[in-house]
Amino acid sequence: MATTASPGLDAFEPHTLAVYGWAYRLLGQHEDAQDVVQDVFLRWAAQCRKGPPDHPRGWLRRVTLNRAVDYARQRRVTPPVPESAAQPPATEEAPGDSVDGAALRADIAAAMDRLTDLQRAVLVAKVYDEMTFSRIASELGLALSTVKTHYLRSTRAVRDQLEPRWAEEESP
Amino acid sequence: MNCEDFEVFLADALGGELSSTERSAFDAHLAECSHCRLEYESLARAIRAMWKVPGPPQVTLYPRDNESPGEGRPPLGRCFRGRRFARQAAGIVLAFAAGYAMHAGVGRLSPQTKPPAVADSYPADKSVSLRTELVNARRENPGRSDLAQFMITVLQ
Repeated sequence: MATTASPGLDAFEPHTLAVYGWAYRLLGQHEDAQDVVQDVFLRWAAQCRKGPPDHPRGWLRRVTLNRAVDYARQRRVTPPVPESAAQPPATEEAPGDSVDGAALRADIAAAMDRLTDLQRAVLVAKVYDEMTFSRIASELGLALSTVKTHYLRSTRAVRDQLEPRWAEEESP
Repeated sequence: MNCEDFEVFLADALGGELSSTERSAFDAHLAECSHCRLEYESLARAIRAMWKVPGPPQVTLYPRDNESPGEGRPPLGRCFRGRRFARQAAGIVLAFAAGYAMHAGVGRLSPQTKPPAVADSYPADKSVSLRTELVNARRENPGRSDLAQFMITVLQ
């Protein structure tokens, strides 16, 4: 059995943690994020057979967020059976979201579902990866003004999604 | 600054990319225009809400070169400690390793409350092929390496 690494894998490997992190941000579950990593890797390998993307990191960011949003959408349609219904309560706190954290993440994922892939990519790059607008523009191959427009639109989409929650929290 | 200027500078203001002069003018406009102030504050609140979403567990599979063994290292799992493959295949095996740690209950991984930049540092030295490391990881951790096994299968 040959042991040389695939060129596609060599190029993918430096981004693996980032891909996992982007997926985890939207999904909050290790297993789901891992599924997304696998799916993205498969698409990456197929893409590399045709030719590497012009902006690899930007390509991975967009594909990863698209798949994560798909997962989140499927979860909204068929929510998983709560583990507590089938298993005894854990004796120590398990990793994962609190109820509020899961709801907040679900709201943000729902808002992202209404965005274009570029808007999602810009938002995650700015908010979670703390990149500058110019660096995001370079990564995604966009004009600086386009990046700022995407950022504002996507932030407004998240704000609109969260406003009912805020109103509920502030009602007496 | 007027309300049209506010819209022009809004993205930079939310993104923390205004110069000090621009920031002063922007804040002065917010102080005198309630409409723009409400718009800015609601968008800033949305961003703060996004920051509250916990990021992925941050783990290190290998000690830094200037650390002695066991110093400053998260208790990730006995099978990884001191293994060469963990140093060199850290990037792609991270997801697998984090899952192993969580499922095995070895060293609970705390979700972060502050948004970290997504980590993408990994050893520059890749003298052993990643593929070989994945095969080793699979061999040494049967039943634990769904990500590693998947990638090995794809590459075969």
